[in-house]
Amino acid sequence: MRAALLLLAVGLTGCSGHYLDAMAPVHALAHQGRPAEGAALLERRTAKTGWDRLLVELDRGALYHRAGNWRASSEALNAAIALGDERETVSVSEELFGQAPFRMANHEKQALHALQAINYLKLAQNDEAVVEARLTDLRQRRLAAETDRSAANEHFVTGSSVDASQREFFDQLVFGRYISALAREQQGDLEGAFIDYYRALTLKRTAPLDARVEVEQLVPRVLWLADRLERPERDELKRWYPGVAPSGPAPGQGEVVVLVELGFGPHTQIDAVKHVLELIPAQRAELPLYAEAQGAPVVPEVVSSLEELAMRRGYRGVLVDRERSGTVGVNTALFFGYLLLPPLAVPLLLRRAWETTIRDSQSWELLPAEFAVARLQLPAGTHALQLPGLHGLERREVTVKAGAVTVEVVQGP
Amino acid sequence: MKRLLAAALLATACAHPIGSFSPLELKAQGRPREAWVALQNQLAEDPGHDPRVAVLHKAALLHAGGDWVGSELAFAQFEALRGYELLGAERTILMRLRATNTLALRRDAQAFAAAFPERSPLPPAPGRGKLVLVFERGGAPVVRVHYDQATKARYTTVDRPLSAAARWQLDDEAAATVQIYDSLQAAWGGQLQSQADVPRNPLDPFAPLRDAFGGRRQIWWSAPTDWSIAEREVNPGPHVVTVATVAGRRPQRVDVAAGATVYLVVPQ
Repeated sequence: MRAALLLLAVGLTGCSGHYLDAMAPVHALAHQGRPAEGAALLERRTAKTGWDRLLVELDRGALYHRAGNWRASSEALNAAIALGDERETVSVSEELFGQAPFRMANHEKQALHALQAINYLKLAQNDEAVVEARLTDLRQRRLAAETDRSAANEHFVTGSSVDASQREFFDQLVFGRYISALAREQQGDLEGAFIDYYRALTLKRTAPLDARVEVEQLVPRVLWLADRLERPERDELKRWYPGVAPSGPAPGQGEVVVLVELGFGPHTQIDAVKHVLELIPAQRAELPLYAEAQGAPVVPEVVSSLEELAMRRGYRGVLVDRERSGTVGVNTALFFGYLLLPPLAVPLLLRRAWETTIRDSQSWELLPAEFAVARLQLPAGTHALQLPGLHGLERREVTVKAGAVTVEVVQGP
Repeated sequence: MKRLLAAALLATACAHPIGSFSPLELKAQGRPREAWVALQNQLAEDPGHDPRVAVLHKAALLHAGGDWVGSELAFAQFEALRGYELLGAERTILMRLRATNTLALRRDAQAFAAAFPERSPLPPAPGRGKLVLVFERGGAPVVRVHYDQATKARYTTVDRPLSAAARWQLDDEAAATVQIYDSLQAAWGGQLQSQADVPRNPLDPFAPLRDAFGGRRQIWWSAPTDWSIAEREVNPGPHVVTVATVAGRRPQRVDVAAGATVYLVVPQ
């Protein structure tokens, strides 16, 4: 009995805590629109502790991003990208004896690269912005030949796979293409910008009918680019959008593209009645969702909704992303180990169950629920804009240069 | 071992593909156009379905998706078909949906009066404009079957809970809830119940089986049952109206001219 208790105590030593519970005050500051204070609190709470590094870097990156500290955010998110890549490989010893490492869900990976692309865009590192924006496309990682393997893994973990007709919609983020095009436009590479914008419109056409992908404001610009560059896609675009007139920059005018990051990501929660983990969308404040320039309101279009991508796949989709067939194998082996060698396997099995539950109930809550874009054509000069914020409309002065694209980033409700 | 595990997981009723939902679930999530596509796929596998019911669903789902013309064409098709007979409340809902299709397309007082004859808004004060929003909510009552005796089924109906209150926001003002103006839930529920209680044909050997699968009628589950109307005088010019739907808050720009009334239809 004593030996068994000792084994149990040793086995359960160093189990993971619940990161989201411990960082609740940090997240509350972010929700209140005080990300700089949130970042400072995060540093204090995580210094010299054993919290999962990936979750810490993701939060650090998101908080600095929200605070407009693009450099610090890009460094943290780069660290998160490296950690995320490392964790794609399943380490049996880590799974068996160590803490079950948190793996990002697809919508979290897409958010990570999208935020990083925005960081680079604001740092005027347009080439890096293009690379990051393209990485929001998960298909690049999973080559076409790997689709079958992905489906097999999904089957293995949850008993079913992603609806094949929607795989492209889940894998490729329209906002990624939009940002890539924007970076190229800022570089003056109109041909490259057209190709990415055109791909964004194509993705919109293949998305489910009621998917939250809105690119209407972009269409006149793409038609103008197609005409100007004499692209072969010109006729096809005119067939897709009959009656829409091409519209490019007018002389003496510039364009402000407002990137609005709306809300916060969904979180996982244990349903007390059904005793299952489920995905819950974050509450959204009923605050204005539009920009105002020269007294006229402009409604930003939601180009990609990460919340929707997550909710459509549900918790089973998230589980597929967090777990690997290797981890399922380790759990199965432990279960049989319990049957064969109870005294040795019980503490390991208990620890395993705890670690897996903790891994599957964590999430990156500070990612934006939705990415929206408002395009404003304005005369060159300085303008006072009203932009959506976490406390209502917020005034921001923006300097517009003739013929140039200025990018503004805000966090909305 | 893998196959064994996969079989065990399949047995836990998670066999449908990730990201796919039934038409009813899609409608409840605020995805009516996808609900219609999913329903079409289901109907394609059921050659015995009533085409009149299918067209009714099409009309209601296209209406909910904002395809007013497509919805109107489907209603016209419905009138030309034979089959499913509408109950009184269903006929009222159909007439109102057709009237709101017209209202959404024409956006004038005459179309509004056709949809809501007893609720004509007054014209705006001089130099002002007016916004009138028509919200649609609710759904078909839920039919429940109870067995008092082993062989006799009794039907009751329960109101389907509203998925979300009708809420809207004008520009940067605080959001407001709109009370229900007209609800057909109770009337429809009563009619469904009385229809279901029609004595069973004793020579029909499949009658108990049909009872066990939820009653003898098909339900027009895609139709709304509750209407709310918000009316507001505004300054002329551009405004942003944000409405809450089950799929989230949706802002839209509305230009209101002096002396004009702008009508908006907001399906569930």
